Amino acid sequence: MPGTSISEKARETFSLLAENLLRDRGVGMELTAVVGRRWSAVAGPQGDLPLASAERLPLADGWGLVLYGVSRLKKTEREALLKKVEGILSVGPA
Amino acid sequence: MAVATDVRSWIANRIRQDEITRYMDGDRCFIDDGAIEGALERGRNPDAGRVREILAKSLAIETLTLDEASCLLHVEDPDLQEEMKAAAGEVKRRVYDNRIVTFAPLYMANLCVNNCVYCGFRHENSAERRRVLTMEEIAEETRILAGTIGHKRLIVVYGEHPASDYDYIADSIRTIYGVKVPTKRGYGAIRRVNVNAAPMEIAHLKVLHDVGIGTFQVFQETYHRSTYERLHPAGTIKGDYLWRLYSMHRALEAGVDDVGIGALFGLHDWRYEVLGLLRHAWELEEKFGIGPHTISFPRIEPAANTPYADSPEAVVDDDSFARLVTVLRLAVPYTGMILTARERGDLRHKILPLGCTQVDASSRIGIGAYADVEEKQEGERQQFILGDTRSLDEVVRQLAEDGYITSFCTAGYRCGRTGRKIMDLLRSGREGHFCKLNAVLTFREWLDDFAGEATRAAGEKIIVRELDEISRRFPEVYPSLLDAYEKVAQGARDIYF
Ligand code: SF4
Repeated sequence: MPGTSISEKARETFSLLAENLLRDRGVGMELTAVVGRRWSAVAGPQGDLPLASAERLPLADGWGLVLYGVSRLKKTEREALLKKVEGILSVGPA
Repeated sequence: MAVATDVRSWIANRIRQDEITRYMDGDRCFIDDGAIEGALERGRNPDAGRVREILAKSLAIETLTLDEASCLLHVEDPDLQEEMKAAAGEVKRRVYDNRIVTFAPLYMANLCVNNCVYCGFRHENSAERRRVLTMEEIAEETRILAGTIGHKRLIVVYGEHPASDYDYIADSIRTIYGVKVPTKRGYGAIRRVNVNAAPMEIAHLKVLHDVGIGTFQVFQETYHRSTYERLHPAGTIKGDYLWRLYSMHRALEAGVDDVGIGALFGLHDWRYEVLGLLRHAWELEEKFGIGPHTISFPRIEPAANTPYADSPEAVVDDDSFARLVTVLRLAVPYTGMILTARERGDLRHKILPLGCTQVDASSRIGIGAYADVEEKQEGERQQFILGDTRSLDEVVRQLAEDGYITSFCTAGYRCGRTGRKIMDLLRSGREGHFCKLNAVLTFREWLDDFAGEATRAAGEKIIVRELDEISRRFPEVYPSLLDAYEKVAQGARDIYF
């Protein structure tokens, strides 16, 4: 997938962030590679996602974030989360 | 019929040996004839206690071993068979709840360079009227499917020929996704295009991946190698058993993480084919962590000027068909199972409760047949003859009367619920919960846009029942479901969980 390769370390960091978000706030977060209509799972929390409405956020370079139950976060929390994700992705490919 | 020189050179460059051998263990492929025959032998005369232990494993949504599946394939006791059928239905409910997904086949081209003896499209069949749809014709077919009938999901089908190669397939998918038709309350559009095409090299699969295909399907036809080689003449592309066998490996490597496998029942012993499919599922799970998104189990049907199809060598009667569907459901509990309109309507009604998850409806398999006013089937432009030609409206009504909700949901692959992730969600039952919510929203859409009066009445009852059940089982999400439901009822479209 051009533009959407990720190092093992970045994948782990993202997954840890997603695990914590799920445990502490009940929000599911999946990192996906966006190709046309297909948003394919790349990294995220282990196990189940919360049963909540899905919101898709296209990011730069063919990445996308899918958030489940994001209304549980305040606007500022959401912005901070996005910054963290962008930071993880900016580390570059494997 | 002679093959033109340019077609011959296209054929000669089709198979890439390095994209077969890289997945093999030396010269051994994952279908080990001896292992399957051995498992079939050991499974004879199974003990009832052992069978019940195996059913418990299926109900825990674990993939069965070849030996376990073989035991189930050899159960002859009618009472035990009934227990198996009930367990198969229960497995399906645990993974997918009571929703059934519908789709339509769209045949794009019936040119084919191969000569499979059972197929109406085979190169040497001079009775077949050949045609490749233009992009305008594809758009017209799509307008009817999405705007008049109300389908959201297609399986597009192509013969193997340079005129319908990967670039044509990619263009046709783009064309389909580009069609949007106003309807009574909203608009109709195809949201997921699954592809059934010939095996391809990885670079070509990447092109399909990039246009956003749903599932990529290739059926092995028969896993029994010597039968395969007899029915698919040497020197044709399809004659290469291994090129076909590793199609899904290449698709997964290309990034297409929803793949569909299948066998054409009637070519070889049905028990062997079930174990072949199971072995294929295991191979994909072991190598990629991703099992088949769907399994298909078509039976061979008559085709114009195709004597083999009139009397295939390993006929599967209706009773054996029910048994094989039951065992497949139990053996690969997480997978989607597709029951097509090849089968008669009355038989589909009996087989569906054994764990099927998807059915097609309003199906027409002639090239360009949706746009034709003529409704009768025409053997000369079809691959085979359909058994169930009921409309989507009729099928949805019957499903509703039987207590199923028809789902037009295509959210999964647009929300990252694909590949390994969806495997986990299916095994835990979570995906079934998403399906339940999305089924209500998409069924509301479809009832408002397309349903006839009687179907709408039957559908409303199902919606009331589903909403009530969701309010009790998932109270935490019920308010947001109601909110989304109201929006859809007001004309909003494509809202999902
Ligand atoms: S089964 Fe497929 S490959 Fe074989 S002749 Fe028919 S269309 Fe061609």
